[in-house]
Amino acid sequence: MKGEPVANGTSLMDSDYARIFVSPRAIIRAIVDRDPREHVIAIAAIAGFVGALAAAIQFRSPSAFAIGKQSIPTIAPATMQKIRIYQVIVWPVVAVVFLYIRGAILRWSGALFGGTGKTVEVRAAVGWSLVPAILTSLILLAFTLIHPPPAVAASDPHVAWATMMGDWPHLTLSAVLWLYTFVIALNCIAEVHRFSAWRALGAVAIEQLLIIGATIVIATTLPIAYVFLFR
Amino acid sequence: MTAEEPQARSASIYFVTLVGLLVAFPTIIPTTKALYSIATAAGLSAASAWQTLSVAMCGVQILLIFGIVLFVERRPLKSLGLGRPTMSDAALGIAMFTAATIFSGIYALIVTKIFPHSMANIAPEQFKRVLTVSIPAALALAVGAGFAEEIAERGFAFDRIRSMTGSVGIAIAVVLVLSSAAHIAFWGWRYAFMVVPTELILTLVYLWRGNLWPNIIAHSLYDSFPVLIRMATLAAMSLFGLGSYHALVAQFRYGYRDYPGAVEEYTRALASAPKDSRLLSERAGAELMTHDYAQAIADLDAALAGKAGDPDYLMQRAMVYYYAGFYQQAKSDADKSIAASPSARWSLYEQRSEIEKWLNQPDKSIADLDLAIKLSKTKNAELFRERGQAYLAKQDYDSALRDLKQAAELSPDDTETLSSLAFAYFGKKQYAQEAATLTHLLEVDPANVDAHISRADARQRLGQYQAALDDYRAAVKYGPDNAQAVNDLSWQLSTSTHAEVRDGKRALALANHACELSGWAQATFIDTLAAAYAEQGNFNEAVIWQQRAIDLAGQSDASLKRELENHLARYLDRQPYREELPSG
Repeated sequence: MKGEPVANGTSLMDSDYARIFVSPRAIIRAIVDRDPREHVIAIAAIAGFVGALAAAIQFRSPSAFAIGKQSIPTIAPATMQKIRIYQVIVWPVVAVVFLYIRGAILRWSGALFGGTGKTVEVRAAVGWSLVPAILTSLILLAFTLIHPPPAVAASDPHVAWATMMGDWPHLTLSAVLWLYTFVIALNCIAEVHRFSAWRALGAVAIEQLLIIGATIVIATTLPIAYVFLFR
Repeated sequence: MTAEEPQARSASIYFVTLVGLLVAFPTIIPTTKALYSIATAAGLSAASAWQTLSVAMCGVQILLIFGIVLFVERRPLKSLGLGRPTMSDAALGIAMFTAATIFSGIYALIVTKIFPHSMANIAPEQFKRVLTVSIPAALALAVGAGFAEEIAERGFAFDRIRSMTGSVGIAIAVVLVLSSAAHIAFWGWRYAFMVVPTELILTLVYLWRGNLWPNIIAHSLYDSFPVLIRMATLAAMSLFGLGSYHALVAQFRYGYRDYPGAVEEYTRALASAPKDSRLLSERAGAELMTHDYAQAIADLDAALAGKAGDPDYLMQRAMVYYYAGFYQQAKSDADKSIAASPSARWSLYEQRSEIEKWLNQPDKSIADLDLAIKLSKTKNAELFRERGQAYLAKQDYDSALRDLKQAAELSPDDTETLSSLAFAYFGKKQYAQEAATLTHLLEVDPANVDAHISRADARQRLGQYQAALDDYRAAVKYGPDNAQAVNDLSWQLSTSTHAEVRDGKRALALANHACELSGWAQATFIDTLAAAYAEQGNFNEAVIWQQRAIDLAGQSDASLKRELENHLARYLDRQPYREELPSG
């Protein structure tokens, strides 16, 4: 693909933002060949903003949870709403931080599968693959506003599950859009590593397992360390 | 693929591999079990034996494998997949740990769905077992197992089996089966079945990477996860202000009935707050469970010094005195507790009634239970049962029946209530109701030996001899070392008026067993032995043993002595004894 320039088109439909939906490999190759840093941070920040905004609008009451047998009080809806509004400011920053973390991890996990992508290239793939994610979030948000889902009684998991399943149009649309978004992301990562999308799936699986595992390890060891070192 | 390629096969390679495999999978041979038995016989507690032996086994296993590789095979440690560890190994290890945890959870859900009876509660049982050892020991075990099992099972065994057989598939299958089976000795076959996905992930990733470090990290994290989660939960609770970390650990250990461990943790918690009355009281509770009454009383004295006249601490000290056998002091503290309590509380009256029962003050005990029942906002089955039992002690069977029926209505499957209710029916000579109550009890607890014996007696009184015999047999089945059950069955087999029931040979064996169990010191059991000899026609032995029974009975129980002498008279007439029972 290298050497065949893909125009950063003048109209929106002719731009990389639109064409990445249909030719993700060609577009991401063109971008990393041109400038792998192009718009990446801005796209990540917008994705964080849109995600937080969608979450704030699609607000659900959180249920109380427990540590040991001591239940932690439910956060009042008003407080939760404030938290979610603050997230609109905080999440763009978090998204950029995660862009760098995911870029580094996916470079490493891709290398395990024989990938040759550089960190900056993988970061570009991660960043640009957020473009379809942004559109997906906006479509789902619009769908939610047009077709509001029923309120979920989170205290009873059976009721919550049944209610959620009852909202099948939303679920189906979400599943289709997120699957498509995920496939585009796999192709972007596969292209910068110069291997197949299946290998990209392996790399992403390991990346996700590492992030979950590291979160568990940190969440487990931090309170222990704090109690033993500082109290 | 960095694992070494198959080498030329020779007899010595097969032999070395075989020896190595025995070292790699020691728990599949009886050595570990034998060492474990020796350790417990030497006086180590089960938990200490397990912890000491496991850590020692890990060390020995690693050294032996290293020895075989370096000095017998003359290969570098790299051939075990042990290069220089890197950050990449750590990251892959953490990812593998997550994968193993997720897949094990899904697998456990599926397996327990398919086999709900045999495969349920494996994780909680394992968790309980882990809790029997201290946190540092549990972590040492987890890390030790992470190193030893990976070096032995993956690093050594996998490559060698592959070299020996020339087949990756066979190597995977053999390592999977043996590494899962290696858990049977300590954890049982059910747990071995549950670790299959984890073993498979570890084996496949080793096959992929040929590097043991991610496996060691994943394995150690996986094994230490229950302990880490427990520590983190308690630490988080402590950070939320729900108590000091050590006090929470102590409560946790108490909840799992690890009372010495709870005392240890309370002691740590008290180091930073030595006068905390609540902690002192809680430690006293744990000390009570370890039967360290003196220390429990000392702690409660200290708690009361900090919070003079506290009714709860006073009642707690009363109960410690009660369990220690100091009933007067117990009563005195209980009286003070009730006097000090700003409002009347049923639990205080209930506890005092228990003490009064032991002081042989049934009327006072009943009066306290009357008050407790009146004060209790809900109908409390336990209170009705206790008052019923107090009436039983007074042989007031009508009142006992009234209360025990009420208790049984409130808590229909409580075996203690049903047992007392059956006894009340016996007191009223209502044997059919007694047998029916015991039948209900046995539906709840089929292996209850005393209930089988009691129902057998009731059925005999009702003339249902075959059913009674079935119950005696069931009593011996569930309590083969219960002297009373064994003796009772022997008596039936010797003295029944129904010829088809009698079996002198079995009766003699059972009677001998009952006498052994009771140390040859029970006159009635020796009487049964004599009856068994008589049933076999050996009247000389019957006379000797019957005389022995009469000597043992002595002058203390005149009616028993008279009955034994009647039996003796029959044996002297060379007649076996036959028990005449009421007709049905």
